[in-house]
Amino acid sequence: MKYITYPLAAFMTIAMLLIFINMGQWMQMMVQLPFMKVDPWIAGGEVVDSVITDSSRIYIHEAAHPGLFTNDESNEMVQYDIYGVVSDSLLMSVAGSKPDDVIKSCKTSDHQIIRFYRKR
Amino acid sequence: MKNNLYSSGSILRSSLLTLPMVLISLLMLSQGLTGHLADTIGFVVTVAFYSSLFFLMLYKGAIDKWRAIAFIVSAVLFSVSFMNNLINLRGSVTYSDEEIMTCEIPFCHIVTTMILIPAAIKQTIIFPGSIASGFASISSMLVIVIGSSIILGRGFCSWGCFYGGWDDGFSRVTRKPIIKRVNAAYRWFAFAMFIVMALWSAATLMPEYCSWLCPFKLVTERDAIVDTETLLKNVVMLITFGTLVVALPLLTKKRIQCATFCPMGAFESLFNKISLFHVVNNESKCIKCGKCQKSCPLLAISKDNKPLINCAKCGRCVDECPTGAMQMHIKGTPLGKHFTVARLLFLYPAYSLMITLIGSSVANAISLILKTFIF
Amino acid sequence: MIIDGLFIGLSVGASCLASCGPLVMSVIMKNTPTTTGAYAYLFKFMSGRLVAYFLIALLTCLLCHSLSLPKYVIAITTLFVGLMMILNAFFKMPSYCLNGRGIKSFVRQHLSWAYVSILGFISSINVCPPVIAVATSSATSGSIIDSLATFTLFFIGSSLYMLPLPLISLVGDKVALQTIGKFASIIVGVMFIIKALLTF
Repeated sequence: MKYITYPLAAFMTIAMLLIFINMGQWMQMMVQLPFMKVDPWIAGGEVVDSVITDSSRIYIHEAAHPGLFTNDESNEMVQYDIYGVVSDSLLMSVAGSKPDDVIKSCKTSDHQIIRFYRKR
Repeated sequence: MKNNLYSSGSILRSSLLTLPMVLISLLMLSQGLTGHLADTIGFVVTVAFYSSLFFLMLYKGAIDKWRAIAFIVSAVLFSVSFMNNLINLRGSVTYSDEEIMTCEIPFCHIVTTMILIPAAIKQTIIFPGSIASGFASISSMLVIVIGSSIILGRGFCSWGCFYGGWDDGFSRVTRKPIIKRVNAAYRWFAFAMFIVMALWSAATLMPEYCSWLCPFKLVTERDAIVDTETLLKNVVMLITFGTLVVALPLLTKKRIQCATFCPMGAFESLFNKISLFHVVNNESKCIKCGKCQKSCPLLAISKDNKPLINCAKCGRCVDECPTGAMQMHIKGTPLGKHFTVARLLFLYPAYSLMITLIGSSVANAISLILKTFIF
Repeated sequence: MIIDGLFIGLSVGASCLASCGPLVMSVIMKNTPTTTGAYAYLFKFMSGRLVAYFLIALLTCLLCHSLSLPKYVIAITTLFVGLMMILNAFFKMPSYCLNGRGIKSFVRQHLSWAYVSILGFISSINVCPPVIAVATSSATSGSIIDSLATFTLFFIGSSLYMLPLPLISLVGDKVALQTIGKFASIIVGVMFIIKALLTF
């Protein structure tokens, strides 16, 4: 019993290598955790809505750092961000906004950020 | 005490025990070889470098000196490789609001301390990086940090951290310390920094330490200077790097940034409680000379020569101890027996971490230098 | 509705924990060797917060609109909190002693209560967004009792998150804890002072 930790310690080398060899699998597991389900940084605001499409779930957030792209600090307009690949028609039905309301759109490898305003 | 490794003094035993590490290096570093001569040379040199240092550790029976060479070279070449990657990806080592808004900032392990509370309470990762794609994605770095911390405890700070080599390197420049006495209470400053930064970042939903205080932005990536705030951030970065990473380690021969300032170090220290490996003082052999306390670069040994929670398992105290009282020990095993085996068993996962986490960057940097100056 | 105060408090309590946590933790770690003492410090801090919220409740109800403090007031209060934290780092809080008479003794006996309560009061007087939300509700209520009740429920809801903080005193090494508390006080103090200067 007292020597059980020797083979356990020897196993640690294998465990260390397994972290890197199986990285893809560990990442998949990590990404399933609740706090990893939203995109980072900008998604500090509350999730106000979500839509399930064929391929993914798209989250709509109230922006945590409003006014970054404009200087609008009006209390009447609330800034929202959508993450995920979003078409104009989906944008209209999900967000209740017209495409004209889109003020900034960027694409990355992960997701498309569409930032727009909507009246409270 | 030298010669306190299982294999020390025997070339055959050391060579045989080095073989697994050579195989690990070949396996982990051969991923992504392109066939270009510079890449092949970089790969071969890196494998030879790490393997020979490992052999020397085993043969000489002293770990810290050879670990430090690997650690310091790894840190410098990692910076070369990292900054080059950024220049290839986005044209600059600086980032602006655009890169932040499109979540293109590589995730660094120090940020882990700041994302914990917001992740637990608000279900948000407060870092502008990619969750699962690109290099240094958030999920991959979290897996590495959590996994290696459970196995090695704060050993990550001496074997895996690609910043620590800078601190370690500057602390070894002078032969003797110019400032001889460092108040050991400063070791707790890092814990205070961890608590305050973790809570403050949760309040502001920004990684405040990274934003304002991290000195290692100088050797990786930093804010583009576009206004007074970003100018101030760059000035603070230069001051913290200049004092905590260069000047104070030079003067004191201690890893001041790692010992007294880094919140990640404090966080990693908590994992020492669950890690199987730890350094202990075998009191039956201890002659209370205090060499361990004087030599420890992280102020991690108490006045009565006992390793504290913030021990990073660099091995220097074990090497310096004249009687072999300071020993690597595996929890649950009898104290004082088979400590040379325990040390060897620790060495394998620790060195594997260094090779797998930083080794590819080292090979990449060597290849890059060859491509720039020769090919 | 009055009960809205509780729900707002529960929903933003984490932010309150994150904002006030550094202050409370620093004071607790620096000054208290026991868990009972740590909870006593927490309640002293909370008493200051409660008084601040009552003041805001009264003012918003009497003025009938939400409060908006001028920048220089926020800067001064932030600076004051910063200086109090620096003081906490370098001076020892006298422990409560039942013996002694006279003004000097009275001040000594009640100094720690006064100090920590004032810290709680000043740090809470900075009108942060969750407080604005409750204040808006209170401003439209028209009744002082309703307003005070709303803020009390908000206080209860937001304070629940802070209850585990004193458990840090369970850590074995008290000397280390006090040293960490001292350093944390200095860090927090400097941060608040810089924040105040930037607000000016």
